[in-house]
Amino acid sequence: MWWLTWRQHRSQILVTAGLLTALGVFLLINGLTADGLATGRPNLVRGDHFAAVYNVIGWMALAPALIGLFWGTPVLGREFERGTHRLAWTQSVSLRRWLAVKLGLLGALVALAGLALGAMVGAWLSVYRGLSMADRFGNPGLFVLTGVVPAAWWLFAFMTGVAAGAVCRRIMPAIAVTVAVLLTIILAMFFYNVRGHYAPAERAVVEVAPSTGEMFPSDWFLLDIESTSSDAEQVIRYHPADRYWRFQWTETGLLLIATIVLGGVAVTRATRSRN
Amino acid sequence: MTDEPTVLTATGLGKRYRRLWALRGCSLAVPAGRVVALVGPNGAGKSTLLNLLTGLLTPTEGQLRVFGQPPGRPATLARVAFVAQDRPLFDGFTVADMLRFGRHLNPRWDPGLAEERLAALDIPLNRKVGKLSGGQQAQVALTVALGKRPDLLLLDEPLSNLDPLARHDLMRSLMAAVAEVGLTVVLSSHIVADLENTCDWLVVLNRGRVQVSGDLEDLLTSHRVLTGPVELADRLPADVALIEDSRTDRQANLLVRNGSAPILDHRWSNRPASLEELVLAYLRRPEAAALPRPALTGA
Repeated sequence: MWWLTWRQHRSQILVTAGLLTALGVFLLINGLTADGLATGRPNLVRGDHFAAVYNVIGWMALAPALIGLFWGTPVLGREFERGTHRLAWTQSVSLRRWLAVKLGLLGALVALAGLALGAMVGAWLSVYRGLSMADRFGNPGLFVLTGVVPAAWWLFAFMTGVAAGAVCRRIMPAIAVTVAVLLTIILAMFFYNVRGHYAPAERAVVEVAPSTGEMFPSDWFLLDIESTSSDAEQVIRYHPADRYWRFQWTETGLLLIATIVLGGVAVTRATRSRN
Repeated sequence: MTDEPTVLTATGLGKRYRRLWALRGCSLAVPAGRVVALVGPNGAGKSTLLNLLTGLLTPTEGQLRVFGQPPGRPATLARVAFVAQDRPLFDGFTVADMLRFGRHLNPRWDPGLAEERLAALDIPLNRKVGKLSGGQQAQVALTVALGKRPDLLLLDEPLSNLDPLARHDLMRSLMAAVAEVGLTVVLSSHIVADLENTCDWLVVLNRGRVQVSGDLEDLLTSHRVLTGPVELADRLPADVALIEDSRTDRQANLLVRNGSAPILDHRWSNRPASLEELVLAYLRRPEAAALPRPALTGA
């Protein structure tokens, strides 16, 4: 079964590993050059350096759609579409074991790849500590690319693709459903600032136009501006930086529950094909 | 006949897809070592029966046993090989990969048998399966099935979409393999001519029911085609079963199943029925049946 899983999915595995390696080299070179800049240099130069890369890897927040498409949908969708499930499931291996190895092995690899992404982006960000926009918590675009959350997202996306393939039983509809569902969820999380509600927010009164420095620390997660109390001051709702890991595990937990539900859907649909 | 070990038994077997019964009230027993022709028109339930035998489908009602076990368990599956309709293979795999697939997923896999077969057929191991001709793909599918060293080989329309030469080659190599290892084969087809000379047990499925099941030679010797004056047609012995009856003003063409005594009336021109005549006659009369005594189906 291990060999079969590798043989059927090796192109996804190799391409993902290749792209992650390329991304790692890219981040390493950028990080080393930025680190080489004298600390006395104005933040503006470091900011440019950061933005050059962030404009590219910011799109990685949409990567789960690709993971769902390329890793998830073929697992059951292609077997059903081409009728090869009748070949694969009539060897001396039970359907249960076939599912366990396929979902277990591919799921583990996807999660590992997500963890690698999180670790690489985290290491790269450490170079830009103190730079606003470059904070793993203050910038929601970076929150999903650091820590354990990328692994949870990729695993969730993988299982979405598997379940869509099991329900649609054909590749093209499964791809359409997977991409639509994942993009909708990812974008809705951003636009409706869903993460801001993982915990009750703190309040702070800040100067609207501070004479020195930032309006508030860049490692705060800004939920919203609640009210403008005067011309010079306003009340903001925010989450302090030490909630980063709490939010990471909250999001990971939610995604893992969804993954388990989708896995149940996929397994049930595959087993029910007998009825 | 009853002391031959049975490979598969079905008792009151039924399979429903949503509201439609694909198979119903199906009772059947097949002795070991036979080459079974499963014939019937499209939609008769042939594929459903074969998929039930592999465990890919589960029965809605009734009981099915393969080697005395419910089908679909790994221990049972290890003894059963299945070539599904359209002979599915992994298109992106090379022929060698298909053999590796068989080896990795089957503890009883016989690498020598599979490689020798393909070498004898001149099928290159490094070619992608999707690039092979239809006939070669069919041979690869059969090789993967035989490499498993099954005791029961199930083939769903193995000859569909093949040219006459490829059909002939496939049947010949199947028969050679059967003679060599002595396994039970069930193959379905809606073209009766494919099965003549190769099968020794006949099962006719029609509208989800088993209409005929029995030793092919017994069936062929017990069914006769009678041609004679029309006035004789109504005076057949009581235990002769009239399967097909077509009459003109003066002449009757009948297909009958013999009773206890042969029909000796010399006014009948009397000859054995061919396989095709026999199958067609039953298919035209879905209410007629030729089934073994209940002894075989068990309690």
